Amino acid sequence: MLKKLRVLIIVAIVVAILPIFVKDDYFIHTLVMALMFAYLASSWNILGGFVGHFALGNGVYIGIGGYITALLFKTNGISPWIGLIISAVLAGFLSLILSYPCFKLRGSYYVLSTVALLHAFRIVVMNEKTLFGYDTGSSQGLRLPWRGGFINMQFESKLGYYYVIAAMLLVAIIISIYIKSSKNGFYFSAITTNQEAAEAMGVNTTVYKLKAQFISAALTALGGGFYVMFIMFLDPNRVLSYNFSVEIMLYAVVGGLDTIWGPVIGAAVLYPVNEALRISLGTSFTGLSTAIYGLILMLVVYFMPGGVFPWIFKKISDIHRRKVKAVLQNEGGVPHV
Amino acid sequence: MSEILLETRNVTKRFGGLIANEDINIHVNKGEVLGIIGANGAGKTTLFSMLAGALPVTSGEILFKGIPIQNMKSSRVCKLGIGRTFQIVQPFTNLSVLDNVIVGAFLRHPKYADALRAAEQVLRFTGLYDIRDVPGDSLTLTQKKRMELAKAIATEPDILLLDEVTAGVNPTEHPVFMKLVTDIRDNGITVVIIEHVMRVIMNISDRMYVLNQGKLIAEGLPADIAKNPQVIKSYFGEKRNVENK
Repeated sequence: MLKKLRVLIIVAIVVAILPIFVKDDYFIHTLVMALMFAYLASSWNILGGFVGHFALGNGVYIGIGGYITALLFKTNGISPWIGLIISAVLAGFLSLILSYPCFKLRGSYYVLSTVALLHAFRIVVMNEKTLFGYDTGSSQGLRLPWRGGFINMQFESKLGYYYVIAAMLLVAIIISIYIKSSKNGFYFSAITTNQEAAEAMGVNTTVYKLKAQFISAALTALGGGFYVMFIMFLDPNRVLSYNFSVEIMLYAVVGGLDTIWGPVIGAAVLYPVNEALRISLGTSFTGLSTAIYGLILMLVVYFMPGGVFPWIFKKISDIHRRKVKAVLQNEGGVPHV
Repeated sequence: MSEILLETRNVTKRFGGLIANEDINIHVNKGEVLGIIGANGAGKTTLFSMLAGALPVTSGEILFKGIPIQNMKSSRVCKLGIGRTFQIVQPFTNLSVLDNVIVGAFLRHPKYADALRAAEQVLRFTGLYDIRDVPGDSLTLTQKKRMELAKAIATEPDILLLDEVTAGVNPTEHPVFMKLVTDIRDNGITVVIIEHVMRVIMNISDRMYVLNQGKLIAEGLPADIAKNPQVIKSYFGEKRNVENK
């Protein structure tokens, strides 16, 4: 636990001082987006990775977070900070109701049920002019007014958003570390491999799956709320699209499923790569950037099947092991490592 | 008369038209090793699954310490104090041996440090302590069987249901498992065991039940069971002459 926290502190310091060296607005924007995807992927990982339930409809909770935060802000003038908390709690409880029947399904059938939920949610939002009396802008999207100030979570400089999302990511990582090193984490791992065996050992699998779902959905909603406040526009065609949910899942899987740092590394590496490709090739060769991005994904998955983070971790421990071996041989001792 | 820990009252289980268990009345005394035998398809594992809460009963009652537990979820049954192992080993392949056992220990010890201590004790008892850091899926079958036992013991049950612990295990290792089962009993855990290997079950059981085609056909001490003509008939067929054996 302490060792894990040491890495976290180093990373947090690097993230905190990074903007001192880079002043470019566009670069900060990209960093904010990368951190946000790292945050969303980490939130997804709590259910998708830790419990092995491959939800592909997290757009629902991003949408709930986004719409509630934005509508309360725009229509009622409620501070987004309060809106975020309200949306997280609502998304958490709603996810329990939505997931309970889905959790009866296993494997691919569960995944399909989450996809179906996402599509149903998008269709409702895009076809209804108002929801619960609020004007959602339906398929046109929801534009937010500029009011400015910390209380309104609107910052003149992008740095404000940068530190907000960095803090949110820090919280998500601490929650993940806490879960992994407590009873919950062990029960989650047991559920991932064998639900019957877990039940036989006194694990109420339904309760623990719902616990993971609640945390995952609530954190995801916070991410959705942040996203809307940052972009100041909520486009259901993007946020509620299947692609958006898959993108989040992809960062976690490519980075390293069921690990603390995997989703963070996945998003921190892949998002900027994708963005750089899009900027450099997007206008000259339409579609080429996507093709190259796809190729990179395939190569990563092929050469690092467990994910980027476990791969790096293994390389480091291999080097360490070789060093220990060399030292032992030099001293004439028997290498036992 | 010793205290009855677990009993079934007219338990019946039907799978569609198939009757897997019919009117089963058994009881388990505190502190004994109870053996259940029967030919393939006699309904032993079905009965086990109902006792452990993994299958609902069609009719009848199962009482554990006087509490009806039929149709209760298996996690609740486990919490009440019934542990089980599976005929086909069910390791958590993504966890080390130690972590596999810790999952069980968390049931009575919610704090990690306490669960760790309890799990290490169980690992020493089952002889797995030296390989505690090995991943659960890279064990030999014998080691996996031991780990099954360790996981169930870690939940600190009052009664342990063992489903064919020696199935697939090298016969030279049978005595080790037999010793382990008697050690478990000597530690105050009541044991119900299903076993195919007669040499094993006859030696470790204090009392036995025999199932045949879903019905209970005999009950008694191992020595009596071995001589029971009905039992011999169910195992070897009509024509076997027992006296000439």
